[in-house]
Amino acid sequence: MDMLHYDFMIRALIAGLITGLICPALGVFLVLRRYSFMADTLAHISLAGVAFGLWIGVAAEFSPLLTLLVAMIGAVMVDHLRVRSRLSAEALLALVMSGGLALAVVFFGLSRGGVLDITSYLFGSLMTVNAADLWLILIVGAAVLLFLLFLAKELYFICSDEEAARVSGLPVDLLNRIFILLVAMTVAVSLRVVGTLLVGALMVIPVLTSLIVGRSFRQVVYLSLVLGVLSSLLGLTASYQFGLAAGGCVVLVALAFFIVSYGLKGLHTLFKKRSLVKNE
Amino acid sequence: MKVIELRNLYFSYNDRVILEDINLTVKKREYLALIGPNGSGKTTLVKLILGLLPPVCGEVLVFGTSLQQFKDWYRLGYVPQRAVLNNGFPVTVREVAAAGRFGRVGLCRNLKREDWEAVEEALDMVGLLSLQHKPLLELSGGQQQRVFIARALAGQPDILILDEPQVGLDDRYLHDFYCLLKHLKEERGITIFIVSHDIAEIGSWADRIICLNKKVLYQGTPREVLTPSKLNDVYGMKLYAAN
Repeated sequence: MDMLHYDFMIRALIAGLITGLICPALGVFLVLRRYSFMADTLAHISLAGVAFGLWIGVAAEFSPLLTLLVAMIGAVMVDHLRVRSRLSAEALLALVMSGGLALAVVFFGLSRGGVLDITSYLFGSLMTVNAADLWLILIVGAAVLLFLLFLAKELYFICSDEEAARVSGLPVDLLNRIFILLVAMTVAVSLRVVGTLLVGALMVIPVLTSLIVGRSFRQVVYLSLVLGVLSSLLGLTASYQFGLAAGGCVVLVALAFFIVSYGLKGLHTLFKKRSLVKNE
Repeated sequence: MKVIELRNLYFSYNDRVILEDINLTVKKREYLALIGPNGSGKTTLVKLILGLLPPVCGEVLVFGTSLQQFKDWYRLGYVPQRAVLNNGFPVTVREVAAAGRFGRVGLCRNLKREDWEAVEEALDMVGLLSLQHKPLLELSGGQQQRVFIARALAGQPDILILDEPQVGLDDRYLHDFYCLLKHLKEERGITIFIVSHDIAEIGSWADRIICLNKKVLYQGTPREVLTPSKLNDVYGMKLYAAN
């Protein structure tokens, strides 16, 4: 508990709690829609935003805002291409992801002296969450939770059967756009905690674990939130205790939950089959 | 009263004309079947009516209102050709059927007790109430199709638009399905617009049949339309007429 004596650790834990909640909350709908790589794509675009900020010399306190802005522009672009182009989802995401990464590499190259910051953005860090970041995370977290509180049922309908949702009169295009903007904002603010390379994992792995266990959509949603928060808090604690990268620890904990659930489900299926054979 | 009216409707895709000069009317409490060979534009016509595709020219009126101004979408129930949800998600039968109620409930509002009663009633109509808490993926293909019919019914629509829903249904349930549509029309006053490939069966249930092959070739009662010569015109091959 001595970690709670440090301000940076309290900030990291609060940030971890919120990102652990909102990442899988939005991730459920991304997985449902088969857009699991969307978060990774937007993370790479956000990284380009970070690098751009370093290059043009934006003051540190405005850097998260610039990253947020670039992620949102990227999200609008992805959504536009999703609707207008005939590219498949995976091709579209690969295209934009590589574009984002290429821009990030070039901007980082142009901004000499900022290179030291890259690792914390790539893998997450406990030390880098400052008060301004925390405020931004709180605001984005509140926006995401409010949106889901009021519009989760509509989003579920759109992500599971967009055509039927349109016929029922839902403003599908508007809700899609708001959703993708919220994903972009979530990705941009989560970079500080889990890092570019692993933010997608925090959005998707708790959901995949819940899919193994859950028997209804409601169960999957609630379980994903619990697993997201647990992974985040346990991972950040491990990161502090062992001096390891925050993002890696968070995602490894999430992966551990997945492996245990997968193993238990396999055993359960095996015993079920055996008992069926015995009864016959 | 006209529930649906299509005026001089044209649709083309990549310079290929799919539908031309479609004029048709669906009246209240009518049981209308749309038939035609594969690629004749049946599904495209349904999508034009539902506003899922924009016509090249012409007009679609729903309950007397142009589609652009139409707001009461909950009055339309839609069953797609082969309804499938994204695989792998453990949604329950009840959760799928409840989505049909969202349009009527409105944005940002939760389903109330009467809404859940409507969902259960819809599931009961298709004989799946006892399976409402089961994951959809544990049901057979035919049962899943019935869940999507229940979803359309849960919104208590004034018109039910079905795009070849018989495709996934097992033969055992097919007769019950046609009886259900007849019951909905006669007891609840719901207008039925069904796209069908099952010419022999639909002839004994529908009030009126429209034969489509890029344009409306024939329309009238089953007795008037389902004659060997007309079916030969529509399908380009000899078929046994229902009458």
